[in-house]
Amino acid sequence: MKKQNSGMLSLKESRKISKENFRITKEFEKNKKRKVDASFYTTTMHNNENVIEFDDLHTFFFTDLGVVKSVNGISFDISKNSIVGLVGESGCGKSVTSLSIMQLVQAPQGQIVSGEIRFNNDTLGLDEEGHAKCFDIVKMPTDQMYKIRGKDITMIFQEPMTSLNPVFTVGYQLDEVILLHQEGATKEIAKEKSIEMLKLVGISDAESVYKRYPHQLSGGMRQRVMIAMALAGNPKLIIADEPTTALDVTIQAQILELLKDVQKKTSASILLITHDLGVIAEMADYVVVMYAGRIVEKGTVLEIFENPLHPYTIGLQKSKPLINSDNDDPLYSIPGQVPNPINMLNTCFFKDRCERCIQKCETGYPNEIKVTKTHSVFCYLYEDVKEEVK
Amino acid sequence: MAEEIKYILEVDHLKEYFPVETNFFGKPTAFLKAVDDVSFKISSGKTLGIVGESGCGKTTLGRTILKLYEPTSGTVIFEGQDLSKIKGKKMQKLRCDIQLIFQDPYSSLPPRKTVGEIIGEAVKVHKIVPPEELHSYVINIMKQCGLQKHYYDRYPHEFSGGQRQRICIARALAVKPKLIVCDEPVSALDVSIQAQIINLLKNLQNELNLTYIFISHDLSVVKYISDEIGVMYLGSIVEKGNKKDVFKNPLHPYTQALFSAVPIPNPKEKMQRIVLAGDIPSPANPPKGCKFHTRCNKCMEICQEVTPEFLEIEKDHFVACHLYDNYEKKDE
Amino acid sequence: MIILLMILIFFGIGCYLNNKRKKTNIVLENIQQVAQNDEKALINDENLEDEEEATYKELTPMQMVIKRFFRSKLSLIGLIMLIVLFAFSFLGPLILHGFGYKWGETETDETRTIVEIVEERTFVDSDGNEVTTYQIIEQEKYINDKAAPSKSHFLGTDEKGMDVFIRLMYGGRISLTLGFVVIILETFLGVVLGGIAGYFGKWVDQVIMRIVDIFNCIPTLPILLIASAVLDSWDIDLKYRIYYLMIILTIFGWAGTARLVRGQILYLREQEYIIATEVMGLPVWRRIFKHLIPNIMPQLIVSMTLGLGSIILYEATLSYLNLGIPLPYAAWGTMISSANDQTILLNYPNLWIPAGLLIIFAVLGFNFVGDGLRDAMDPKMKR
Repeated sequence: MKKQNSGMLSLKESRKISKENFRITKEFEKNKKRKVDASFYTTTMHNNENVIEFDDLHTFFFTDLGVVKSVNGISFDISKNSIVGLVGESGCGKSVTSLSIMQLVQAPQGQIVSGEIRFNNDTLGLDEEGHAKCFDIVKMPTDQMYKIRGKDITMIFQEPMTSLNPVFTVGYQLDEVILLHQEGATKEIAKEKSIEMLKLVGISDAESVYKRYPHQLSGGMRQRVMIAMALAGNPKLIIADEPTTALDVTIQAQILELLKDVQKKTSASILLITHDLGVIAEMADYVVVMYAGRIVEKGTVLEIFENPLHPYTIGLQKSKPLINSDNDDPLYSIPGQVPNPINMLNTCFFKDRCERCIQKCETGYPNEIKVTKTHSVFCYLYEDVKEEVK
Repeated sequence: MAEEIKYILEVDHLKEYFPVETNFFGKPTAFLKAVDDVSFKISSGKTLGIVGESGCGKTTLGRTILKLYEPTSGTVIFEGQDLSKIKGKKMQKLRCDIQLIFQDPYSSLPPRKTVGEIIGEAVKVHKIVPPEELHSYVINIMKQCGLQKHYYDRYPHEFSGGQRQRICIARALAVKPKLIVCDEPVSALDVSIQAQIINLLKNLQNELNLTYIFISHDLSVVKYISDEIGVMYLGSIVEKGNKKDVFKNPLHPYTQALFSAVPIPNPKEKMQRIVLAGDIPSPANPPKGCKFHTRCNKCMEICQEVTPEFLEIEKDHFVACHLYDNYEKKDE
Repeated sequence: MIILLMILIFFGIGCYLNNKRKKTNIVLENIQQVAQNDEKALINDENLEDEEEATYKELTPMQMVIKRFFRSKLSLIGLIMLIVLFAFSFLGPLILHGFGYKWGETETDETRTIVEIVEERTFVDSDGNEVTTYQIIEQEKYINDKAAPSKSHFLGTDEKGMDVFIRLMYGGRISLTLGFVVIILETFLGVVLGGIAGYFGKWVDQVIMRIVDIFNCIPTLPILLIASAVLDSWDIDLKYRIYYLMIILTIFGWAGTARLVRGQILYLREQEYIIATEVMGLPVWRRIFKHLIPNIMPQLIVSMTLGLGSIILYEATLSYLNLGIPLPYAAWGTMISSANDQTILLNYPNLWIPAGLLIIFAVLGFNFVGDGLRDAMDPKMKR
C-alpha cells in the first residue's frame, strides 16, 4: 500500500492488493450474514422529521488497482414529504449513494465501510428522550434488509427497457410485489391493488395494461409501471435514479409531472438522482451537489440556484446553454476532466479544475461551512463568510 | 451557376424506407418510413440544427446524407454534384468532404489502434499531405482539437469520454471536410465536458468555415450552436426556420410543446408546460393525415385526413400544419 | 537423465517467466505513470503550448491481454504444460542423442538375445509312475522386443523392438505439427469464407452459410473413418498419408470457424468505428484487412487454441483405429492401439500408458491456455 503512492504497482503488489481486498471484503460479507439482535442495528434519529439521515457515509470499491472511494464521507438528511435532488457528473458517487441505502452495492468489491444511514420507518416508536428509534442500514444484516427493500424504500431505475422482466406480464410483476410486502394479501386483493396503482400513475386503460407484457408498452408507459411498482409497498422513501434520462423530452415532462403528483398524494419522500440541473430546479426542494465522492454544496433549491457558492456548482450552472436566452458568447466550461478515483490526494478534489483555487486548497479537504441554516458549502473561499453569519 | 452553388448542401424530397416485412418471395410489403420526404438547404459556414425525439429519424437522415444508406428516393446535392450519381473511387474521394461525428465516443474509436493511427489513416490513404509531413500534420490537428502531442502513441481506452470525442473530431477534421454531420456529439458526455466540446466545435467552425448539421435531442444545445433549426417528427420536418424565429415564435403545436417541456434550471421560473398526451406512434405504422394529430392539442378534423403541406409562413420560416393554411405572410 | 532434462526445462521456463514478470512489472508501472501524466495533463489542458514531451511507454491492448493472462494461475499452468510438451517433442530427441541415447523413431533394437523357453511335461507311464520331462529350447531372438524399462530403453521397447520413449517424442512432433497445420488451414479457410459471407451478405451469405450447415450436419467421426478406409484402398504411400489426413481434418473442421467469423463481422459492421472507416472513404480491401480482420483476431486465437486440443484428439482416435498415422511412424494414437492386444494391455503398461497421459496432457494444456486467453481478451473484463 505504501508503494502505491509512489506510482509503482508491480504484479506482485497487485496480487498483494487483491489478496488484501479479498480478506477485507470477506470480513464485510460475514458481517452481513450473521444473526444479530435487533438492538444492534437500531439507533435514534437526530431529527424526528427526517425520513433518512446520512452520517459520514463511506462506500469503497476494493479493486485490484487500489481502493476506489466512491462515496467518501457524505452527510445529509431527507426530511419527510420532500424531494431531495442529488446532482453530479458520472462517477461522482451519486448512484453508489442510492445503492448504499438499499445495500445493493455490487458485492464483494463494493462495501459500505463506515458511517451511518439512519432510516426512520415510524414503526419503532420513540426512546426516553423523545427521539424516534430507527434502523441503521449500514449495520443491518442482509436478511433483515429484505423486509425494508421494496417496501419502505423503493427504487425507480434509469432504464425502463431493462428493469422489467420481459417474460412476465406487468400485472404478474406488480402482484408479486404486493403479495410479498402486504400481509394477508390474496391474489384478488393484489390484483385490485395493482390496478389501483396503475390508475394512480395515470394509465387510463389499467385493466388492459395489467395483462400486457413489458415489450408491448412504450418507454414512457414502462416507466409509469416502474413507478406504480415502486408505490405498491407504500414506501417512505422512493429513490429515483435518473428516472427520465432515457426518455424523450415530451415524455420526460409527463413523468416529472407524475412524480410530483404521486409524491403529493402518497407523501413519501423522493431522492431524485440526476445530472440535469433543469430537472432538479423543477422538482427538488433541497439540493445536494456531489463531486468525486464528496458533497461540495448543499442547500435549498433557491439557495443553490440563486446563490451558488462553490466554484463547481457555479461552473455547472454556467456551462449549460439556456433555452430561454439568446446569448451567443462562448459557453463557460470547467477545464480538465473528472479526476481518477484511485489515490485521491488529500486536497480539495476540485482544486485542479478550479479557477479560484487558493494556496489553502492544498492543505486537505475543506470542512463544511454553514452559510445559512440550510445552506452549506465545502470550500476554503467561504471561511470568512462563516464568521460574518455568526 | 454561381447562384446555385450558394448552398453547400441541398436535400430534396429525400426518402429512406426500410423494409420491415417481406412476403414469401422477398418482396417488401411494409416499410418503416425513417425519413419521409425531407427537403432543406444549407449555405456554407452555417449550422443546421435538427431536433426531434428518439425514433423520429434524425440519425437516419444524417446517415442517408452521408450515403451510408442508399436513399429510397430523392436527391442529395453536395456542391452542385448529385451524390447518388457518383460511384466508386470518386465517391471515396468525395467522402472526405462530408464527415460524421458519432454520439458514443466509446464505440466509435477502434480499440486496437493508437490515436495517431486513427487520425492519420485516412490522411495517408487519400494522400492529403506528403507522407513525410504526416506526423506533424496529425500533431497539428490534435493541437487544434485540444489534444496533447504525447497522446499520439496512446490507445483510446486510456481516455475519458470528452477526450475521446476530441479524438473523433480530430479524425473527422484531418481529411479537411467542408460539411460535418454531428450526430448527438455531446449527449453522452457530462455537462461540464459538453461545454468544452461545444465550444471546440464552434471555434473550429469559425476558423475553418465548416458547415454543420447538428443532430440532437437537447434543445438548449441545438439552440446555442445552430443558425437554422429543423424540428423533426416521425420522419418529416414539421417546422424549419431561422433559430430566432423558431424559438421566439414556434408555430407548429409540436414545436410549442417540445420547447415548453424542457426543464429550466431556475426554480423561480416554472414554465407553463404543454404536456403532450400519449406516446410517439411507431414509425412503421404512422397515423394517417398529419402524423402529429394523435397527440396534438389543436387537432382539427382535416388533420386526420389530409397531410399538411410544408409552407413558408414567414420569410424563411416553414411549417407543415393545417392551422396555418389560410395564414397570410406578414411581410407582404 | 530424465530428471536432469526436466530440471533443465524447468530452469528455462523459470528464466522465461521471470522475464515476463519483469515486463509485466514495467507495464504496471506504466499504468500508474499514465495516470499521473493524466493528472498533470489536467492542469494545463487549455494551454498546450510548449509542453514537455512525456517519456513513457503506453500500455497497449496486447500488453493488457498479457497482463490479464498471467493473472490466472490455470492459464499459467497450461502454458507451462505446453512448453514442457514442445520441449519434450522437439528438443527431446536432440538432447537425448547428444547424451548418447542412440535409438531413432523407427529403429528396432536388433540386439540378439537368447531366450530359454522351458517346457515342462508331466505324464503317467505304463507303470503308473508319474514322469516329468523338461524340454529346454534356446531361442535366439533377432530383435529385442517388449523389453522392460532399463537404462538403455527408458520405457522399454514395443512389440517391434522400437524404443517407446523416443517414439513418444517423435509421436509428439507429429501430433503437434499436424494440429498446428490443420488449425491454420482450417482458420484460413474459415476466415476467407466466413469473411466473404459476413461482408457481402445477401445471396453470397446464404450460399456459404448453407454449405456450413451441411458440413455441420455430417457426423464427423464416421466420415473420417470412411475417408481413411478409402485412403487405405487407394494404396497411398505411407509417407504421404499424413498430408491426406491433414486435408481431411481441415475439410471437416472449417465450418465452425466460418460461422464464428461471419457472426463477428456482422457484429463489427454495426460498430461505429467500422462505419467511420466508410465515412472516411477508405477502400474496401483496407476496411477488410486493416479493420475487420484484426478485430476478430482475439476470438480467432481463442478458437484456434481450443480447436488444437480437439484436433489432437481426432488424430489420436484415428490412429488408434489404425486409420491415422500408419506404422512404423510414431503417433500417440498408434502407440495406444497396441493395447488392443490382451497381453500388452495386462503385462506391458509401459507401452501405452505414457502415450495416453501425453494426450491428456496436451489437450488439457491447450484448453487451459485457450480459456485463459478467452478471459484475458474479453473486453468486458476491465481489471
